[in-house]
Amino acid sequence: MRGFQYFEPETLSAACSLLAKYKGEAKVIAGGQSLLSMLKNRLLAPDYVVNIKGLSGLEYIKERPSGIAVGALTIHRAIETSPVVGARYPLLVEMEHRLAAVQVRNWGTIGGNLCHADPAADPPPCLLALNAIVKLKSRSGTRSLPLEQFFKDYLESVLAPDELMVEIFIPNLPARAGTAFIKESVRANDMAVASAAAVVIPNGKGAKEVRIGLGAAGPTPLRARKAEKTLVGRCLEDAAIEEAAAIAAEEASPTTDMHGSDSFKRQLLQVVVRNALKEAGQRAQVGRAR
Amino acid sequence: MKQQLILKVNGEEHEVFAEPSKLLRDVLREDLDLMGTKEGCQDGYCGACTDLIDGKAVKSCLVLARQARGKEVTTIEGIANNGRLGPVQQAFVDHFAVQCGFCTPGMILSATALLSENPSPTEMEVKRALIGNLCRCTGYAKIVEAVLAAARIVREGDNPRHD
Amino acid sequence: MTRDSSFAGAVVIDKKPLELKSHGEGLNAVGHSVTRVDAVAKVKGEAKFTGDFKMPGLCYAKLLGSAHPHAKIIRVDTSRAEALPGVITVITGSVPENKLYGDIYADQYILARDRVRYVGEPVAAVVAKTEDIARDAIELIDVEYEPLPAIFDVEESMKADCPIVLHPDLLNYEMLPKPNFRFTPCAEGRPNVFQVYKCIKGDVDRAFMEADFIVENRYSAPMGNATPIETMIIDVWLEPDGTVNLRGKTQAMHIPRAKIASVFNLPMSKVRYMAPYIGGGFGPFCSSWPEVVAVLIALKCRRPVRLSLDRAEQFSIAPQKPGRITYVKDGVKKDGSIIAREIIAISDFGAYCGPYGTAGYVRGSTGGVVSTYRYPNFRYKGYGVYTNHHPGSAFRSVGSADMHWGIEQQMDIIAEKLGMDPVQLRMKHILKEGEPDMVGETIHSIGAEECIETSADWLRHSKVPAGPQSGPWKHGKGISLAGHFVVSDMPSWAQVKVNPDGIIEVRHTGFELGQGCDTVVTQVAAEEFNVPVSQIRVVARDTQFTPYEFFTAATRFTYYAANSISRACQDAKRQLFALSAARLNTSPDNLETRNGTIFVKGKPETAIKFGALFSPAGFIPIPGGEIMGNGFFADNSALYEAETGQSPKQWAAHPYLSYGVEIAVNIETGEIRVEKVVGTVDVGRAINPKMVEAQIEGGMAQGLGAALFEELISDEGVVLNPNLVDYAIPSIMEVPSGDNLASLISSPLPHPLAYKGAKGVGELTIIPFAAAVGNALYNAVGVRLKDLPMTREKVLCALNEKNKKG
Repeated sequence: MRGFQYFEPETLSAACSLLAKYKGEAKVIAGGQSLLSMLKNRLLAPDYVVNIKGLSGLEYIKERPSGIAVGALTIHRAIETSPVVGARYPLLVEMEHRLAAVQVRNWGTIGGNLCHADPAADPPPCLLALNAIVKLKSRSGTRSLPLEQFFKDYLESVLAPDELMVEIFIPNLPARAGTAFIKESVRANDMAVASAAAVVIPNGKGAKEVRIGLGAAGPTPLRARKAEKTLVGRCLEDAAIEEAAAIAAEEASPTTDMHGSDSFKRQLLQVVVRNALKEAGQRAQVGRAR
Repeated sequence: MKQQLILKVNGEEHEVFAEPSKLLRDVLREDLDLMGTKEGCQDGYCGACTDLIDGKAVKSCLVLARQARGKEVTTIEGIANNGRLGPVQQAFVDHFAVQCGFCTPGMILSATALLSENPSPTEMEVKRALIGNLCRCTGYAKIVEAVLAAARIVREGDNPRHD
Repeated sequence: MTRDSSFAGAVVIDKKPLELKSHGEGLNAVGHSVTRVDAVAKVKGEAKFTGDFKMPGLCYAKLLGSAHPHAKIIRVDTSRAEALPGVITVITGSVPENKLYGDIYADQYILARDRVRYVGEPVAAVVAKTEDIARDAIELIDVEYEPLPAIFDVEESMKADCPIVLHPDLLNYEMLPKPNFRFTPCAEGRPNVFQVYKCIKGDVDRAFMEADFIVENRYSAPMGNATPIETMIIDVWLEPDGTVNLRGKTQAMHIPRAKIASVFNLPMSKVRYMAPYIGGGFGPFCSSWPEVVAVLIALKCRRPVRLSLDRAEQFSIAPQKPGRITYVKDGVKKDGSIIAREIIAISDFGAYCGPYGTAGYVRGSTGGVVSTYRYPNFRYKGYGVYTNHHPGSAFRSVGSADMHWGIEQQMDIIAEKLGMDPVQLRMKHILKEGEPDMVGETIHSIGAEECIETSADWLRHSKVPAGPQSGPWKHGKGISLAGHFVVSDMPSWAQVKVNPDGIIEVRHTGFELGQGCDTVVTQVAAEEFNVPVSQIRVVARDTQFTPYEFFTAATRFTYYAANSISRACQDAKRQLFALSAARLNTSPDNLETRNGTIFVKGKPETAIKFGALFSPAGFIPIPGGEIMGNGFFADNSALYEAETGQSPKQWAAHPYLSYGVEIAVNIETGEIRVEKVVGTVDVGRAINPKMVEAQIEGGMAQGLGAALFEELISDEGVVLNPNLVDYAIPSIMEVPSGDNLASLISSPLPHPLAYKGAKGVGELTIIPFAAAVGNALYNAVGVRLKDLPMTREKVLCALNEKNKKG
C-alpha cells in the first residue's frame, strides 16, 4: 500500500471542508472493507485519506413516523441484529446474514457499502426495492435522492467529490407487505453472481405494488421496472411470476466474466427474481401457499 | 510521516510511531511483536489476521491501526490467562482442530467472539461465525467440533475465565 | 540394462500381515490419539512461522514478472527503479551468476535472460528497505519485449508437428541425475514433450477387439493452486565466512540446499537451511524455488533479505498445479470383467520443468492406478508437455486425483452399462494380497475391499437428508475408490540423543506442515523407549544440526521416518544397555528400558536411571560423551523397464481410500451441495487415529474444492483470478461436518516393512473425491461432467443438453 496523508476530522463539517479542499484527490474511509483491499492491491493510490469512521452521530437506527433512518456509519452487524430492522424489513436481516463474514459486518458500514457502488454488493438491491432515500451532505448543503438515482456506473455513484453520505432513509412498508432477498454466489457468502430483492405490497388478493431490486445484473444495481409493472394488480401466481422473472432477466445486462457467461447469469437472475417474488408474495399472502 | 499512536492491546496501553496508512495487523506484528496475528492474503478474505476490537471479531488487515484508537484490541496473545488456555484454545487442542496452525489464532478469536455473544450456538451458527476464516488443512470438521465443545465448557462454567 | 541387473537388490516381502483388533493393540504410544505436540504453541499464537522472525537490517525483495506469455527480452532498463530512494539494488538476468538450472533438465534461468515463456516469469528483482518501496520500484522497471507466438493448448503443444517449439535446446539441456528415473526428451518426435512414462501389460489392442463393449472418454482437470494459508517466504543472510543461511517455507530443505551449492558453486557445508513451522504445504514447496532466486539476490546485495510472495504473486508468479487431460478407454466383457484398460494422461507443465520438484510427477500419478484394480491387459502413457502456462509444481497426489476423476467415473459408467452395482464391479477387480499389480510388483497390505465396503455401508444407511427433496433440489449418492503410493528411493536418517535428565531428544528433518509429523516422531520414540510422550523432545529442521531427510511429500514421511527413528532409538538403547550391563551384572541383551530406567528383564526393581550413567556435569566418559543413536532407513526400487514400466519393486507401500458422498443438485441454478461424506482409509496401522481422521477431512475438503470450484482461469497466460475472492477454496459452509461426516479408518492391516505397519496417508485423501461427486451428480440428475470443476454453469449446460435430447 502506498503512503498517504491522513486526516481524521472530528466533525462532519470539518470532513466536508477537507473533501472540498482536496477535491477529487481524497478518498473517504469509513469501515474500509472495500477500500483497503483496493489500496493494498494498488488499484487505488490516493494522496489523501479522510477517515470518517470515528465521526460521532452517524451510527444509528432511528424510528421515524414515516420510516427508519439509518446513519451512514452504522455497521452491518448493527442492522443484522437490530430488532427494529428485523421486525420491519426482514429482508435486510436475511441479506446481512449472507454478506461476507461477521468480521466484515462488525467493521464495515452501510454507507461505505453503498458509496463503493459495487453492482454485486448485497445491500443495494434490497434498499432499492425498499425505495430507500440517501441523504448526502457537502459544505454547500444537504440533498436527498432516491437510491435508484445514486448509482451511476460500475463502482461509480453521483456522490460529488466533496460530498458524504450521511443517512439512509427507508420508508415504512404497509402492513402485510412481503419482502425477500435471494442470492446466488459461488460460496455461501461470496459476492453475488446474481441476486434479487423483492417487495410485494398486497391489495386484497392481488399485488398493489411490486418492487424488484437486482444485483450483479449490470454495471449498477438496478430496479427491474418493467417486470414490476407486469405484476401490478395481479395475483402472484406461478405463471405471472415466471413471466415477470423472465422480463427482469431481460432488463438486466450482466457481463461474462470468470464466474460465468452473460446468458448463464441471466438464467440465474431469472431464478433469483422468481424465488424472491414467490417468497415475498407468500409473505404478503398474495401468492399461492406452498 | 510517522505519527504517534496509542493503542490498548490485550489490556495494556502501547505507544507506537507509525505511518497513518499502517494497518492494525502490521502495527501488531511489526511494532508490538504480537506475531499471532497472521497475514494470508491482501484481500481481507482469509481471516488469518482476525483480532477482536471491543470483543468483536474484525479482520485486522482491513482496519487502519489509527481506527482502533480508544478501543480494546484483543489478539491471540491475550486469550490465555496467565498461561492457562482459554476454553476455545483448550478445545482446539483436545479435538485436533489444529493442523498447520496458521489459521488457528484467527479461528480461535472468531470462535471466542461468537461464544461471548452466543454461549449456546448450534452447529450452523458456529459455521456461520467462521465463514470468514479459511482453513486449508482441516476440512473444518474438527474445528466445528471443538467450538461446540468449548461452548459446553463455557456454559458449564468449568473454566473460571469465562464467567 | 538387462532385466537381471536392473532388478538386483529388490526387497522381496514374504511375511503375512498381522491380524490386530485395534490400531493401538499392545502398544504404549503408537496407535493412540496422543495430543499433538505442537497444538498448545499453535493455539496460543506462539508457534513461529518464517514471517514471525525478525532480523536486524532485513531488506525486502520483490520480483518483476513477465508481462508476456512468450517473448524475447530486448532490453531491461532499471535506471528509474534504481533511482528510487530506499532501493538497495536491482538485479536482472544479465548478472554473471545467472544460469540455467532445474530438477530434471536445466531448462530455466534463475532470472529470465533473453526469453520469457510465461506471464509472471521473474525477469528482475528489486531489493529495498521496505516491501512497499520494493513494489514501487518494480513498477519503475522498463522492459522491452518482442512478443512471440504462444501456445496454451496442451494437446496441440504435444503434437510432433507443433509449429511452436518452446525449448529448441531441450535435447542439449543438462540432464540432472535422479534415482530410477528415465529421461525421454522430445519422445516420439514431439518437440514440446519432455517426458513420457509408459506402462504396458498384456496386449491391450487385442483385448479391445475381444471385448463385448468399449467405454472411452476424455476427462480434464484444470490448472490449480495449492493455496496453503501461509504464502511463500524465504529469508537469506550471509555469515562473514560466506556461509549462506536460509530460513523459509519448505517441504524439502536438502533439495534446495544441494541445488544452491551446485548452482552457485558453494561448498555444501556453507549452505545452511532452517525451517520453522510451515503454514500448510500440499506440494509446491518441495522445490528449490524460489530459494535459488533468493540466494542470488542475497549474494548480489550482501544484506539480509526476505523474498516473499503475497497472495497475488502466489497465483501469478509461482508455479501452479498442472492441468491434466486423461483419456480412459476400457474393454469390458458382459460377465462384468474389464479385460483391458488404456489411459493416456497429458500433463501441462507450462513453461519449464525448472526447479519445481516435479521429476516424479508423470510416473507418480500412476502409483495408485496400477495397484488397486486388476486388468489382464493394461497400457498407460503419461506425457509431460511444455506450454506457455505457468510451470507445474507438485500438488497433493501429483496428478492422481485428476486421473481418478476420470477412472472412478469410468467405473460407474461401466457398471451402469453392465447393469451391475458399482461397488460390486469395483470389488470384483480389487487386487488381492500377494497378487502382482499392473507393473509387476507384488501387492501387500491391501485394505481396499474393506474401505469400499465400509463406505458403501455407511452411505446405504444414510437416510436422504431432511432438506426439501421436491422442487429444484435433487439428491444423489456416489462412491469411489483409489489407492496411492508411498514413494521409494528417498532414504531417511534420524538421531536420538539421551539426555541426563532422561529426556529423549529426537533429531529429524521432517517438515511440520500441519500433518503432525512431530507428533508421529514423538509417538514412535515414546513407543521405543517405553516412556510417556512428555519425555520426548523434538529437535528438527536445520541442516546444521539435524540429519538428512529427503523431503516431506509423496506420502513418505511416516513410512520412512518412523523406521529411521525407531532404528535410532534401538541404537541408543543398545548403547545404554552396553553401558549398564556390567552394573546390573547381566548381558546387554538381557536388559530393557521403561520410564527412563534400565533394568533386567522381568526385574524392574533393580533399575538404573539414565541420569545415573552421566557425571553430575552431564557427560558420560565415553567417546562422544553422550548417548547418540543413529538410524537409517531406505526402501529402494528397481529401475522400471523403459518400454513397459515393469519392475518387481516400484513403490514402498500403497494406502487405499473409498469415499461415499451424498449431494443435492439444484436443477435451476446448477448448484451442487455436498451434503454428506464418508471416507474410509486403509493406512496399514494408524499411528495417531485422530490425526489420520484429520487427514481424511482435510483432503476431502480439498477434493471438494477441486470438484466444485477450483480453477486457475487465465487468458493468454494472464491469471484472471489471482486472489482468494475469485479462486474459491471451500469455506466452512461448503464442507460437511458433525453427523454429516464420517472419517473412518479400516481395521489394522500392518504393512510388513512399515514401522508397526503404518503406511502413510497424506496425499491419498484428495484423490477419489471429485469422482464420487461426479458419480453422485449422475445418480441425482442423470448428467455426467467430464471437465473439472463442476461449476453451476457446466451443470446447467449439461442439463439443458440432456433435456434437448429428451
